[in-house]
Amino acid sequence: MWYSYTQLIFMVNIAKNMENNDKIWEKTLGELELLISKANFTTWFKNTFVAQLDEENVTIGVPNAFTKVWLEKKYNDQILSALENVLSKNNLQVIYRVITKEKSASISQEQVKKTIEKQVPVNNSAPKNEVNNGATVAKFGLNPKYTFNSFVVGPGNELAQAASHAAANKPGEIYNPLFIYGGVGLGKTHLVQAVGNYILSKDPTKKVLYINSEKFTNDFIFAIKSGQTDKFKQMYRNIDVLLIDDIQFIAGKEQTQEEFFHTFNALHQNNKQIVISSDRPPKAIQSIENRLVSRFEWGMIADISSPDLETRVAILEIKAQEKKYKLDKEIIHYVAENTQENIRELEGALNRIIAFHQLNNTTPTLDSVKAILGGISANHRRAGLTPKKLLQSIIVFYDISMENLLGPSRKKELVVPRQIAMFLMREELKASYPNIGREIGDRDHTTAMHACIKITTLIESDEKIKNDILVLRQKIYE
Amino acid sequence: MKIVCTQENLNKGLSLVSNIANKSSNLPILNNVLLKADKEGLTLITTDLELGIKVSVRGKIEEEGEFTVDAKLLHSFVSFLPRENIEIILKDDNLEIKSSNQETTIKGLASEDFPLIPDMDKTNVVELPVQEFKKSLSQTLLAASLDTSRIEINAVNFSFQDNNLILAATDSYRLAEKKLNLTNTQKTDLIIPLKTLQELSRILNEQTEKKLKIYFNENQILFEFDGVELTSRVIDGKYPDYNQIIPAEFKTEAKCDINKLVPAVKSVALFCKSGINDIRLSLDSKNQKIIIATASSNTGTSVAKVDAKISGEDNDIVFNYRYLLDGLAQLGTTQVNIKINNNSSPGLVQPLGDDKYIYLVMPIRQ
Repeated sequence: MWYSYTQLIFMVNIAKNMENNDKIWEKTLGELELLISKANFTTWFKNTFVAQLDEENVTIGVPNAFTKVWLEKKYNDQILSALENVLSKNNLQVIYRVITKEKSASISQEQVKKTIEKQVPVNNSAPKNEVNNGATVAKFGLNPKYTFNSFVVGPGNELAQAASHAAANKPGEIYNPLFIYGGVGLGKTHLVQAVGNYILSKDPTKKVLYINSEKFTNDFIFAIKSGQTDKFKQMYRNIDVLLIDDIQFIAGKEQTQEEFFHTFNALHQNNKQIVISSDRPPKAIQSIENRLVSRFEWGMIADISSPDLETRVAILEIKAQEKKYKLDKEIIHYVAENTQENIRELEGALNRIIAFHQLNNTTPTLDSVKAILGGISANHRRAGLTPKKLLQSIIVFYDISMENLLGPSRKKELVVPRQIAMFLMREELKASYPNIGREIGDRDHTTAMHACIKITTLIESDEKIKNDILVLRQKIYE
Repeated sequence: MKIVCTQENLNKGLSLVSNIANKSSNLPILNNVLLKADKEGLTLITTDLELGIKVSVRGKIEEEGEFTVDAKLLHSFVSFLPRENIEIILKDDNLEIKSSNQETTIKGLASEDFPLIPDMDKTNVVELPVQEFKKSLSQTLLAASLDTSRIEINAVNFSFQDNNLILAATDSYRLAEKKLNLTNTQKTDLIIPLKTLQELSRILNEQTEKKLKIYFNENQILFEFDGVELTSRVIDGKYPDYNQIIPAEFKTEAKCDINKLVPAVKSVALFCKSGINDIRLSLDSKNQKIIIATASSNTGTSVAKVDAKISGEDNDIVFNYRYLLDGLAQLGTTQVNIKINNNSSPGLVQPLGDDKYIYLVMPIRQ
C-alpha cells in the first residue's frame, strides 16, 4: 500500500516542522543564554524543546514538574520575549508541558496516522512502519543512504561485508564485537551504518546508536563537567546496538577508554551488538589499553582493503546510476584506472565530471574527462612524466648543462642538483635504484640510495633545498 | 523575618529535610534549606530537583519573611544547641540565631532563586496506614536495582488496581512484590525512583501519625503525613512485565522456623565460594529436612540440616545466600514457606500464611 502524494507531503511537513521547531528553540536558547546565569541556564533549560507551534501558541516540552513551575514563574517573560523576537510575532501564548521528546515524536506520529486514516480508511499496518522508520533512522544519526544494497562487494571488502551482514541478521549472537578496519574512504562508515539500518528495518523498535569516538569523548567530558555521569551511563548502556566509528581517536584518552571499557562490558554482557570501525587493526592502535585491545579482538576482525579495478568500475556505475547520469563504459574505465586510492576520491572524480558537463551542457567524452581529471589524478600526471623530462627540468632550474649533471665532477654546485634529480626520480617516478644509477651517468645503485637518504634528511634541515624541491615538483609536470 | 521556636522542633524539622540538600554542581542554592515564615507558621523546604520535602515546624512567627542557608550547616549547628528556645532573625542577608548563651550569624542566599516545589492538584488520593506502608516499603526496596543507568528498575513500581496497591521491585536477580489493600478504584501504574522511597522510608521512621496520604498524577507523586510533604517526579517508562517470571505452581514446598534456618544458612555460608555466594538447599521429603550445603576449595565444606515440613518431591536449588537472607529478614513472621521447582526456575520465599508478599530469587545455575 503506497501513500498518496498529499499524504507524503503531509508527513514531510511534520518532519520539517519538528526540525524547524528545534531550530527555533535553538535560537531562542541562544538569546536566553545571554540573559541568564550559566548555572541557572544549564539547570533549567536542559532537555527542553518546542513540542508544538501554531499561530498563537507555543508549547514547550520540559523534563519534569520542577522545571515546569520554575519556567512558568521565573522565566516566562524572558522566554516569551525571546520567542517573539525569534519568530517576529506578538501576542504569543507559551504553554509548558511535562513531556519527553520521544513522547512528543510519537504524538506527532499519531497525528500523521490519524490524518492518514481519515483520508484513506483502508490504510493499515504498512504505513505505521514507514513512519516509524523515517523517524527512528533520523533519530539515531544514521544515514538511510547507507544500506547493504548500495554497498558494492569486491575481493577487498568481501569478508567485512559478509561479517557485517551476518551480525546485522543476528545482532549480538554471532560476531560481537565486530571490528572493521581499513584505510580512508574505503567504506567503513557505509558498512557500520548499513548494520544499523538493516537492524532498524527489521525491527524499528530497536535502539541503535551510531556515533564516532570523538562524540563519545565529548559526551563523556560534558557528563563529568556537569556531574551527570549517571545520565551518560544510562544513555549508552540502554541501547540495543552500538555503532562506533573511528575508534582510533580514543587513543591516549585514558578516562574515556575506561568509560568505554565499562560501556562495552555492559553491552556485551547483555548480548547487545557492538560494531567498531578503525583505520588500523586493534593491535596497531597506539596508546590504547591492552584490555580494550583484547576486547576488540574478542569477536570478529575484518579488514577492508583498496578496491580492485572491477570493483571500482562497479562502484562508479552504481554511483552514476544513483545520480541518474549516463557515462560511457570507456570513461568509467578511464576514471577507475586513474583513481586507485579510495572510493571517496572516486566519487569526487565522478562529481567533478558530472558538474563540469552539466554546467557546460555537453556530453562527456574521453578527452573532456581526461582534461578535467588531469588536475587531480596523480597517476595521470605520473604517466606523462619521463626521466628525460625530469632531468630537463632540473638543468633548466639550476642552469647547468646535461653533461655536467650526468658527468663525473663532484663540485658541490653539481652534486646537490644531481642528488635531487635522483631523489625526485625515486619519489615521483618510483624508479628502482639501479635504474636511477643507470640514468644518471651510469652510476652504482648505492650512489642513488645514498642520494635519496641524503636529500630526505636535508629537506628537514635545509630550508633552501626544501623550497627547491617544492618548486621542482611542480616544474617537472609542466 | 523573626521566629521563635524550640530547639527540639527545629532540629527535628531540619533532620527531615537536610538529607536531600546535596552538592549540586550546577546550582549552589540546592545545598540550602529555605526557611519560610508566614501566617501558616515556619516551613522548611529542600529539593534536589527530583524530589522536594516541605516540613512545617511549630513556632511563633513575630515577623514574616523567607531566606535560605546551607542546610547541613544549619542542621549540625542546631543539633548542638541546648534544649531551649531559639530566636531566628533575618538581618542584612544574614541569619542570626540566638539561644541563651550563644549568638551566631549564618550567611545565606536570597530566597528568590530557590526552586519552587511544584504544586499538585489533590484530586487523586489514597490513604494508607503509615506503619503498614513503611513495612511494605522495606520489604520491596531491598530488591530494587542499584544500577542508576537503568532508571526504570532503579525504582519501585506502584500499581494501583482493583482496590489494591501493588509494590514491586527487581534487580533481575530477585523480585519482591507486596500487595496492600486500599479503597481505591483507580487503575494506574507509576514508577517511583528508589532514591525518593529511600528518603521516604528514612523520614517515615521518625513519624508516628497513623495515616499517610498519597496524591499522584502521571508526572508527579506527593506523600503527605504529619506536616511533612514529599514531592517526587515519576519515572517516564514502562516497568518490566515481571508476572511472567513468577512460576504458576511449584513442585516442592518446605515450611520451617526462620530463626532456625537463618543461623544455619549464615554458618554454612562461611564456606561458600567467595564472589559466588552459593549455597545448595536440598529439600528432603523422606526425612523432612532442609539440607544446606556448600563447599569451597579454600576454606572447606559445611552441611547443616534444619527440621522442616516438606511436601512434594525431593528437590535441589542453589541460591546466593545473601539474597536468601535479605528476603528472610523481611518476612515478619516466625515461619517461612519456601517453594521451588528445580534449579533452573526461580524459588519463592514467603511468610507462612501470608500470600500478600512474594520474594522470588533466581537460582545460580552451575
